[in-house]
Amino acid sequence: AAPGTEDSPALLQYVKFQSSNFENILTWESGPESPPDTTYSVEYKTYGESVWLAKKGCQGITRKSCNLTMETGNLTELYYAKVTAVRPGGQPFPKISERFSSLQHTTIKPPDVTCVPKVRSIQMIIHPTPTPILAGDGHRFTLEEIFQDLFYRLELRVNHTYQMHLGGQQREYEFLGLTPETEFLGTIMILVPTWSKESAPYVCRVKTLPDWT
Amino acid sequence: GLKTLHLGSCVVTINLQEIQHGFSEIRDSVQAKDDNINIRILRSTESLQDTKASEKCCLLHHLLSFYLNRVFNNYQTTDHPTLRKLSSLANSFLIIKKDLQLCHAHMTCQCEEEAIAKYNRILSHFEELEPQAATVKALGELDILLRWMEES
Amino acid sequence: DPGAVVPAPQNLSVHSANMKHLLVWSPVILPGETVHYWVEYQGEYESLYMSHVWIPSSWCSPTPGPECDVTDDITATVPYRLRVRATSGPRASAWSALKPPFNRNSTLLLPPRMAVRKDGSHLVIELEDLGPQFEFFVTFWRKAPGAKEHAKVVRSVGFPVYLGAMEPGAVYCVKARALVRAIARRSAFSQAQCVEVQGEALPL
Repeated sequence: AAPGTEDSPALLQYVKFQSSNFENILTWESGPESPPDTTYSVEYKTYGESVWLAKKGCQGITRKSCNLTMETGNLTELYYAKVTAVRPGGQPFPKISERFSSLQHTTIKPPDVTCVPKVRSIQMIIHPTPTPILAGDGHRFTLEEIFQDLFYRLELRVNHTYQMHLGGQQREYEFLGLTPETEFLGTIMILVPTWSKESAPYVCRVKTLPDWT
Repeated sequence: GLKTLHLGSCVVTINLQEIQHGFSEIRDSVQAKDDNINIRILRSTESLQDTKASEKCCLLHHLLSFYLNRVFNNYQTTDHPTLRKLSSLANSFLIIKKDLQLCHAHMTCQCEEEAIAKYNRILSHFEELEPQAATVKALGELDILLRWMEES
Repeated sequence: DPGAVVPAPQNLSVHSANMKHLLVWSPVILPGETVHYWVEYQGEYESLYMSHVWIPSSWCSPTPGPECDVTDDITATVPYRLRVRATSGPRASAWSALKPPFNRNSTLLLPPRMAVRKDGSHLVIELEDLGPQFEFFVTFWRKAPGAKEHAKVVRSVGFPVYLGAMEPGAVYCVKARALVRAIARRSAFSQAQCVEVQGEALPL
């Protein structure tokens, strides 16, 4: 019986990739009528190829997620994944994901930042963000290497009345001309304009040091 | 949001972010209509970024003309929001094509063997398919072309 | 009179300022009847490759009044043909077309409204939010002979943004202009606004 028909009730729904900083996890949900002992098997393939490849470690599983990061790691390719649900004594029920491109679909996590308070300034050091994507020489690409137009936007809120802004592609910034012994709220985001990506902010609350001079 | 494309001696500035954003709003619905996921029209072997610098302009010029002449105007939809997005994309492609025509007029968009051969292979992949299926697949692969442009 | 012809709308024109485009026309008066208007458009692409295809406007298919905000329809910097017709019940007028076609690069860019103030020794500016296509080129300087002019591109709008530090006892002035990259144009500069910083002026 064709999938999702009366004889083969929907055992499976919402097969999709959840991607964050190029960590690509396939997730799905059981169908309204799938018994608890339903098992799932995952396959994947490159768009344009005809062969489905079985994902080792995600065959006959009961959990509803599967890490396909390494299998979908080529940035120039697009992928599909297929989950097949099987209930004991029943027909297999396959469902295919939408076409997946990690460049397009991945979301960006907040950057890793060190905020360093001084007497009349606050320094912010942004650390590079490694991804699971391997380069030819075996090193892991950083977000900055993958996205040519990636830049950082830094905001410092000054006593709830206005903001100081800094931004660019370098990693070290310093907000100058601040009042000693005063609390400030810093937020730092990663932006990738071409792909309209914007990370959630990294937030640091810091207090400038007292001026003993 | 503006991106400068260096296509050999031809340099054009395009609003790639606006185009990407426009396509992202119809991508999933268009790609969902593509039933034949075993075939790809824009293949890595014919990619723009792996083309000789002096021939990139010619290949892109041909690809834009292909989309303007055979894809945007043949995609069938009654959905008005999709129609508007397609119009926006097509008119943005028209602007880029005009810029490339200026390069052509200034002899910086020469067509040689490699670009023509790659374009003909892409065309043959397209023409192997039933016309409406080919149109749907080509439109669904616009993100591939935009990434080629982004990486050029 | 159910048989009477519905007259076509007349005097079509586009009022465009700061990338907001409003198509207006003279109302069609049919005593005792309710008139609606339908707006359609074609970009240059449609004119050249699909001239039979007209696209219904996002907000005016139909609309009761003699105007239509076509900002969301005019999304590329090419000439757009626009047309309107009136309907009353089942009866429809002929189409009236805007002549010449409209291109968004003809929009009127106005100097931006801004609020300049100081917070202690910090010079702060707030610029009006004109939409995502706008950036602002801001220049500020200390009002003193030979003082250097500083420049900054500001994209954050709708809340106060720090420009620079000021020296006590000095007067600082600011002016701004709007930039729209999509049409490669900019507005005139706004009127300069100045603020004075308390405290003893430092020797130059």
